[in-house]
Amino acid sequence: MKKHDDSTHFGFKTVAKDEKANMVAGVFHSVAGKYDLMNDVMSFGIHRLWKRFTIDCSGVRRGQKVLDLAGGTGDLAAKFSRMVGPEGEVVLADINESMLQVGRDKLRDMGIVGNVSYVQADAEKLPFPDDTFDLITIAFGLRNVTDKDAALRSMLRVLKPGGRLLVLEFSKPDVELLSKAYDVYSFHVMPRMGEWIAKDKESYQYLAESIRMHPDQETLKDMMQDAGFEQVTYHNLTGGIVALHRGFKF
Amino acid sequence: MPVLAVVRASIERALNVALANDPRAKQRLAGVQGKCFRLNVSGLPEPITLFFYADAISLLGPDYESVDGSVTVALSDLSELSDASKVTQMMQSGRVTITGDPVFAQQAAQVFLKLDVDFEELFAHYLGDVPGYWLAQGVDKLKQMRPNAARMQKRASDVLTQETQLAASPLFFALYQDDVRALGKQLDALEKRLDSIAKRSSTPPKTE
Repeated sequence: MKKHDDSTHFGFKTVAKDEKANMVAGVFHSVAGKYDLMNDVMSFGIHRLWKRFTIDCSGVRRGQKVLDLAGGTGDLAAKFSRMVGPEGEVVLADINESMLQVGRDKLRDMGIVGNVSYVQADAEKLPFPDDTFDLITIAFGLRNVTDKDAALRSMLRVLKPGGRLLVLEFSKPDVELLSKAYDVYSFHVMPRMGEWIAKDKESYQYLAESIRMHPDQETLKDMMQDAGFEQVTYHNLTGGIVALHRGFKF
Repeated sequence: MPVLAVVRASIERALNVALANDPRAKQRLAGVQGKCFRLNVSGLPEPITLFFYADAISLLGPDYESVDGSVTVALSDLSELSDASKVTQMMQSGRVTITGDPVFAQQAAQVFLKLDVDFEELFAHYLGDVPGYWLAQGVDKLKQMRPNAARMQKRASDVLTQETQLAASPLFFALYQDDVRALGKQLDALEKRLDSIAKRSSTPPKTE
């Protein structure tokens, strides 16, 4: 009889599944305050273009319901809030209370109130009824989820028929030279920057490792199809450093 | 993708600054709020996709598919679109294609065509009074050049079209080449004859 595997990855380390959530929470609790600044510095601002492309692929309309999962500091939620208008609704969900707090403060400072609600939620067990959302986005969050298959199934459940899921996540560069340069950058430069700017080398070391351990483009596509998503496609961004996967529920 | 995305983001920023400095922009935006308009201009690398909010716009990429209305037009005909009286005629002649509600397309265009920004005040805010004044003067000159630009564009278009009509056809050009070749041969023959006459005349007559 096959033994049930209770271990998972936390960066390059193998840890018990029930420990990972707390360890990831620790990382994001630590980086929450400087998350936006670090994103801009480490990606040279390119993360804004990746998010713009995600919005382009969302097809979101006035009056729709959007779930921005692992929404962190609310970059996507802010844009969706304006697009769906007062008749629509955006739910900014994150498992991490600190990130959610930073997101809530940021959106309120931007004057975005009324159609945005904030929910502390685990992507594997989403606390919403079936067929609730027209669109679900998860940007740079899926790789931190312990059981990605369970999370994808949960997202499918709460998505309305005809709705779509967009997964924006680090992936595998499709050019060998770029891949090597990116390795040097993520394992040697990124943790140093984390140390200098956010005074937290370990968290950024984890981020680099978790990017390497995340499934590549084709594997994630298969995982989405296995979860029940249809017409799954992906689009490489910046040479495959990041990929946007899109799948539909019919 | 990145270069066009950066261009798009920069234009979006500039347009939003202009809209924020136009006191009547909100009134015009109210009619199109929550809607998406796409302008397809042949010759541009991608369509212009605008999503309207209560006080601003978003410039989206070509992948956004939930568009409420669109206009397709050639770059050379774009300036004529600002004249509402010509739009029907352009549609009938197939120079412009409108999908969705034409009123929405008109309202979307008015958001930008009726922009009324005090550029001197705006530039002075960012750059200081003197550079702001000079830059605003430049903008005014550009505005004054707009009718001239349209005239020049039409003139260039006419000249190019007429040149095409006047240019020789391939058949005419082939006949012309044949004539030139025949003339060349006649010239060669004439040259040889002249040479032989010259030789004959330069040879002294035989004496006994």
